[in-house]
Amino acid sequence: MRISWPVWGVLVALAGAMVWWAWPSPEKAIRRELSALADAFTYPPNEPPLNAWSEVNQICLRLTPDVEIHLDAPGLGRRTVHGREEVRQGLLAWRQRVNGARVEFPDIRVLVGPDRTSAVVYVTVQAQVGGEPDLGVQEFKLLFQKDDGRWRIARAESVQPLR
Amino acid sequence: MQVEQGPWAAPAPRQAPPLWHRLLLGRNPRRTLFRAVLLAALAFLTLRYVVTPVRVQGISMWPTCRDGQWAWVYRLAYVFSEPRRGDIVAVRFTAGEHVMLLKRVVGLPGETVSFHGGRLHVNGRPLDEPYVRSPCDWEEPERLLGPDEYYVVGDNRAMPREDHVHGIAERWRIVGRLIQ
Repeated sequence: MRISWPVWGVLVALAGAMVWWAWPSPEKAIRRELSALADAFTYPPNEPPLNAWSEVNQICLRLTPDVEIHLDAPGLGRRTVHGREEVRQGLLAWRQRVNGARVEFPDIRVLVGPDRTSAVVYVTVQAQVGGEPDLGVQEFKLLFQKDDGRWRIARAESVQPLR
Repeated sequence: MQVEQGPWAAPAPRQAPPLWHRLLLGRNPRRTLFRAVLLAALAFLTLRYVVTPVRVQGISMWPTCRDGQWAWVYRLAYVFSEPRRGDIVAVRFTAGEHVMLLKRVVGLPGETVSFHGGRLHVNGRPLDEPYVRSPCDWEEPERLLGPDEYYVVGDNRAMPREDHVHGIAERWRIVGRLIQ
């Protein structure tokens, strides 16, 4: 059976698209992780506890076991969280306290390291919590590390645009 | 009656395209498409590099800018000149420019800025700020600005100081001047 040139072209393009989708570049993979993270941080008012537990687990899966989080921002206070378990407890408590949240990352800047196993990511987080009309905006600097073929957050710190 | 055919025949009169065709695609669709692409490119470049529409969110610039108000950021304002005292500027985050801070420049490079008893002092002297309508009791020690640093703050000083994002912005963060 002979295959014409246009059909070959379509097949090659399809194969290329599949390769592009299945083996994304580090930047694309990190952006996918962040998109999933924003979805996991977003939850409706009166969220069932089982759903909250599952979503928090989804968030924790995207962190390294010894993750370090440094917060110093208006509204968030100043605190440091160590390890995935502490993050899990904190997030569960937060979801019980705050009724509903919508989280978006309107700006993401990915700087992949030369070794291509780590990356520094600046992300602007925009959040509307508890049905309040005001939007909270905070920038974070994240350190991603590739672990078992998956990009995970090893360190996160809040960044102030003004000193 | 004879009908002449062949190369010497007179060309048939060209039928005018229907009205809907003319309205949608013009008399010459190719030219219309070219114009549409040119217009789209021009609009994109203008909005991306000259003036950008922004929607104000929050109350830190009240009463000059109100929550929900639309305004424009003129990006070419500081191509050939530097920000001046009193300019309302858009300050970008490191991650990008989809969300920016809107603040007023009150301190210029090389100056010292401080708050005493709610009044802004520049180089040790109180600055006249007619745009500030709400008194405050902010206290902040003197800070010296570096060569590429500007002190920016919102007009709404009635907010608690801790909730009001203000401070030193590096020059590269200042994207443009607000046009209202």
